[in-house]
Amino acid sequence: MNKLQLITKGLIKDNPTFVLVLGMCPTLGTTTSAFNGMGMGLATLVVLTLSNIVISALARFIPDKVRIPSYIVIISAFVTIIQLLMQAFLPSLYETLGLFIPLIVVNCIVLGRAEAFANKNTVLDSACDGLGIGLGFTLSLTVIGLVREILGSGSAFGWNFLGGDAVLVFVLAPGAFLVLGLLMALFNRLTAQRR
Amino acid sequence: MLLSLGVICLVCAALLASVNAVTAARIAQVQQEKTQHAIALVVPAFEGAPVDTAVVIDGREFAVHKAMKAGRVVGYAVESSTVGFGGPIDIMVGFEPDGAIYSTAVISHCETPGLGAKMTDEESHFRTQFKGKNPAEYRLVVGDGGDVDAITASTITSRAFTSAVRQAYNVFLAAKGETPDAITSATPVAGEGGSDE
Amino acid sequence: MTYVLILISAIFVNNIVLSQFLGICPFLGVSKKVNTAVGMSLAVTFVMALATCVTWLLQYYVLVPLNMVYMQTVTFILVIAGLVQMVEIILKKISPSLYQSLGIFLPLITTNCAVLGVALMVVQKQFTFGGDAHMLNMGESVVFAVASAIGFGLAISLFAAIREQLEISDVPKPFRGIPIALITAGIMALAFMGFSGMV
Repeated sequence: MNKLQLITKGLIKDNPTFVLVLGMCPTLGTTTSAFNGMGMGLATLVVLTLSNIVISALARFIPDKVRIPSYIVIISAFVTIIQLLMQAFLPSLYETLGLFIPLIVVNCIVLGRAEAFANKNTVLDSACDGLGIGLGFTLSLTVIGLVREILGSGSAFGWNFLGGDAVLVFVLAPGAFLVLGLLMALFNRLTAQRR
Repeated sequence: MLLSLGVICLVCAALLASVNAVTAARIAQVQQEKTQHAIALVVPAFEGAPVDTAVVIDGREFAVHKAMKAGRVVGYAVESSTVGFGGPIDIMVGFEPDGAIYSTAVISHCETPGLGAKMTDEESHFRTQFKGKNPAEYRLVVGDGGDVDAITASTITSRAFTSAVRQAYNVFLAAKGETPDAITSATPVAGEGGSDE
Repeated sequence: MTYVLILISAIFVNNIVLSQFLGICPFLGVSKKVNTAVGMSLAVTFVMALATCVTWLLQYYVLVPLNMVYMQTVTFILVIAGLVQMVEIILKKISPSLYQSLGIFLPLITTNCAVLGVALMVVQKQFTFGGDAHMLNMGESVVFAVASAIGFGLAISLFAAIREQLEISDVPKPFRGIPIALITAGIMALAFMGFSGMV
C-alpha cells in the first residue's frame, strides 16, 4: 500500500466508527454539535499519529512482555500533553469535552493501531496510518455531530438557521444512540450497493 | 525487561513535567481571565484591578470583588454557587453600591443542553429580568410568592439560579457591612441603568 | 442518606452507560447473551471498586502532596492495568471455577473506559449529593464506584435480554448487528431519562 492509500483508507474502507466500530464512547459522548465532534476527532488524531510514530520507532527496543504497559504509558503521556495544551490554549473546548480527553487513553482505536500496525511498520507508514485513521474518526464524529446539531438545536457549526430549538432529544443521550444507529445503517446500505 | 519499562516511564514523566511547567502559568492565567471577564460583565465600568475580599457566611467562604473608579466603589461582583438539576451551578452576581443587581454571569454549570442550559443565554428574559432590580424590594423567588419568571420546563434550574442570586445578595450585604468606606460611597449614582437592555 | 442518594443517582439517573456514555465497547461487545453480560458486570464491579479505592488514595496522598497532578492519567491507567493483572493471577490461584467464568472478561476491563472514567470522575468533578457541591471522600467514592458498576450491570443485562430476542427477529439487512443494537440502546436511554429529577 502506498502512503496516499494509507491516509485515505480510514475515510471509508476502514472507517473506525462505521466499519471497525471502535471508540464508541467519545463518538456518542462528545457529538452534541459538529464543532465538538470535530474537536474530539482532532484531539484523537494528534494522539494517534504521535503515539504511532513513537511506538513504531521504539518497537525494536521494547521487550515483548512489557509491550502493552509500555504502549499505555506512551499513549497516556501524549494524552496528558494534549490535555494540558488544550487547557491552556483552548479552555472552552476543553470544558465541553471534559472527561473524554483523558479517556483517549482507553480509546481502543489508539491502542489497537499501536498493536496492529505501528509495532511492525516503518515510522513513516505508521504516521500515515495514524493520520488516516484519525481523519476517518474526525470525519465520522463531525458528521454525527452535524446531524445531531441540525436535528436537535436547528443549527449547523453554530449557525442557527431555525432561530430556535428543534427536536431536543437528539442533543440528549438517547439521540446519540439513535443517530449513530441510523447513520450506521445508512452507511451499510450505501457501501453494500457499491460492492 | 522492567528496565525498559522503567526508562519509558521516566522519560514520559520528565516530558510531562516539562510540558506542565510550560503550561501551568498559562492555565492559571486562563482561570484568572475567566474570573476577570465575569467581573467585567456584571459591574459598571471600573478602573484598575478589582479589590478581592472574602466573606464567610455559615462557614462557607464567598469571594467578593470590589470594582473601583476614581477611588470609590462602583460595584460588587459576588461569586455564588448552588445545586441545579445536573450538578453545581457557579455564577457571578454584580451589585451596584445601593444593592441593585447590575448584571449576572454564569461561570460554570452542568445543566441539560436545550433545557436548563438556556440560563446561559444572556439575552433571554430569564436573565434580563434580574437587571436593575433591588432585592430589598424585589422578591427573589420563582413562581408563587416571588417576582422571578422561570425558564419553561426548567423550574429546578431557575430556582437554583435565583437562590444563588439571593445568596449573593446576602454576601453583598455582609461585605458592605464589613467595609465602612463602601457605605459612604453608596450613593445611587448609576440609578436603574441597564434595566432596559 | 448521602449513600442512598449516590446509589439512586449513579444507578438510574446518571446511568454510566446510557447517560454518561462510558463503557460502550463492552456494552455492545459482550451483550449477546445474558449470562456473559452478568459475568462481565460482576468483574467490572470488582475491579471498579478496587481501582477507585487505590486511585483515590494515590490522588490525595501521593499526587496532590507531590504537586504532580499532571501524572494523573498515566498513574491511574497503570494502576488499573496492574490491578487487573493481579486480580487475574489471584483468581486463577484461589478459585479456578470463578476464574473460568470471569477470567475471559478481565483483560477486556483494562480498556473499559468506565473504570478509568469513574476513577477520574471522583477526583476531578464536584458532586452535590446531600447539599453543597463537594469532592467525594473515600467512602463516598467507593460507594459511587460500586453504584456505577451496578448501573453498568443493570443496563448491560437488560440490553442482553433484549438482544437475545432481536437475534430471532427479522431485522432489515442494513440494520442487522450494531445499528439495531444502537437504536435499542437509544430507546433504553429514553426510558432511563424518565428517572431524571429523582435526585
